[in-house]
Amino acid sequence: MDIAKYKTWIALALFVLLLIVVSVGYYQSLGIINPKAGNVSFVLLLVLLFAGYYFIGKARGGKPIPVRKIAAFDAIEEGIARAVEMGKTVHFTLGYGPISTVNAPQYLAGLGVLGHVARLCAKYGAQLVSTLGVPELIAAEEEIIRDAYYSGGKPELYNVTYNVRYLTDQQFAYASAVQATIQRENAGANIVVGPFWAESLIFMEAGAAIEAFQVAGTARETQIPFFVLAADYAFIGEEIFAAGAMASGDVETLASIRGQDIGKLLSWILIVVGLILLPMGVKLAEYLVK
Amino acid sequence: MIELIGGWLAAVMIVWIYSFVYKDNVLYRLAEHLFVGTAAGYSIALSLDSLNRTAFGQMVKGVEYWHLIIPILLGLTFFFKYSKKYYWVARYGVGVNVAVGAALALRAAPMANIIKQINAAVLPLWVAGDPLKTFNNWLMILITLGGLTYFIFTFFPKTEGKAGPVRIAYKALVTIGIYGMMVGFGYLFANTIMTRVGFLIGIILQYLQPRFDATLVAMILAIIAIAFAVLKKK
Repeated sequence: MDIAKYKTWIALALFVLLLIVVSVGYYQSLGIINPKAGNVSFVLLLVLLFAGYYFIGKARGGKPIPVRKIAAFDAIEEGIARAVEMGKTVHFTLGYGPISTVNAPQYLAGLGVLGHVARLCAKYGAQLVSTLGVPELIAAEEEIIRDAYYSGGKPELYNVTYNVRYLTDQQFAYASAVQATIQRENAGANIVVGPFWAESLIFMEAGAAIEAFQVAGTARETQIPFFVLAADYAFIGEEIFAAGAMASGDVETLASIRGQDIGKLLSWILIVVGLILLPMGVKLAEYLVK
Repeated sequence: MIELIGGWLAAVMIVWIYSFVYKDNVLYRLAEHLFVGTAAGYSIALSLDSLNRTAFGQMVKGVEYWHLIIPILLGLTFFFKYSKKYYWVARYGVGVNVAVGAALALRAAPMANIIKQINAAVLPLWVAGDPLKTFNNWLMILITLGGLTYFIFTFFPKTEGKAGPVRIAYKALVTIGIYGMMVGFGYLFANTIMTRVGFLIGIILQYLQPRFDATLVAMILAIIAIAFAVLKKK
């Protein structure tokens, strides 16, 4: 029996099962719906969802979406080409920990950038070493790198145990192994994109010690300063999502970035409206948090 | 006795891990592999314990908990990665995990990214009798608007041709946003470095200060680690 034929039905069945879980949770009063959540917050969530859906539909219709230049994104190719010229490897890492947390979008953005890095490695014939501490993404990384090398005409460079190295999901054990890998593999380019905590500077130090070309990015604001300071090019905050979308080349993912931009434009407009209304005694901010 | 051995082991590991500052060496490798191996074992123990407590332990309590079989089945789909024919089934488990994470992030987005931001940025543009506060408010508002403009990726003025007022205003806002962020990053950096130095002082106080013999052993261990690296280099 070819199970692949029933992929859609399996997906549908899983969706129904999830609905059952949510319903059971709701009727057993497991607190799935937060009664304290504000109405305005809910309306804004709906607006964001609708905006994303609308632009995805537009993109499917063939409407191109312009994205502004991101210096760190363009620098990735420079770094990989430099590593090849020096006969060195390219190192990539996207973080550690479980994926089913609020950091999931950052891991996905990291995977998007990994796809771009792997394709460039295949194009220039570079050896890629990707370390990770996210057990759920081992299979995804293997597929991404294999596809990149095979479609780039360099299948001989793909060696799953060499290219993808799962270390551990414990923070400093992962950090100690990553910094050692960067130095032992003598990385010419060190690309670090994902959610990072205290280990971010450790990776940058390890790369700087062997004079690797470093491109790094995270949306965790406490770690951005380390990347801005120590990397040659840094993705600042949400730039990693735009980079992930650009790297994937997927128009629907790019369209979702435009949906997010609607949220930012909305914030911009509401701040200006709030400033205009404030001298009249109307406190928009107080109304919004209700 | 076990506590004493544990304390010495921790001290030895700290010195060996610190030896990486000089160069990668065999003692660092030993400490690193011990650390990674122990962490992997610890993760497995934690996962099994969690599975036992939150899934199997609950399911045996009664039929109302049997829905927990769904996440267990989803977890089992991960093992399909070892099948060449059915490896795609593993994607469903990953997909649900990613979706849960994305949904968690999305749930908090309107409140954290929009409403609280507006709440913090809508400040009076004129505070009578307090010019410093007025200046501070203007600074806050301009940096917030500038930062927001910087992070808008798909709506921006045309870059070709002569710069019009929109492009000039856009560039000015983006510049203010970048400078504002850099100041913020500087503060965060300094703050974190202070914390890290605090950790270092804590370790030094814990292991080096109270006893001279402990200091001596730590120094000998550091010298051994460096000697290994130097000899290997030769």
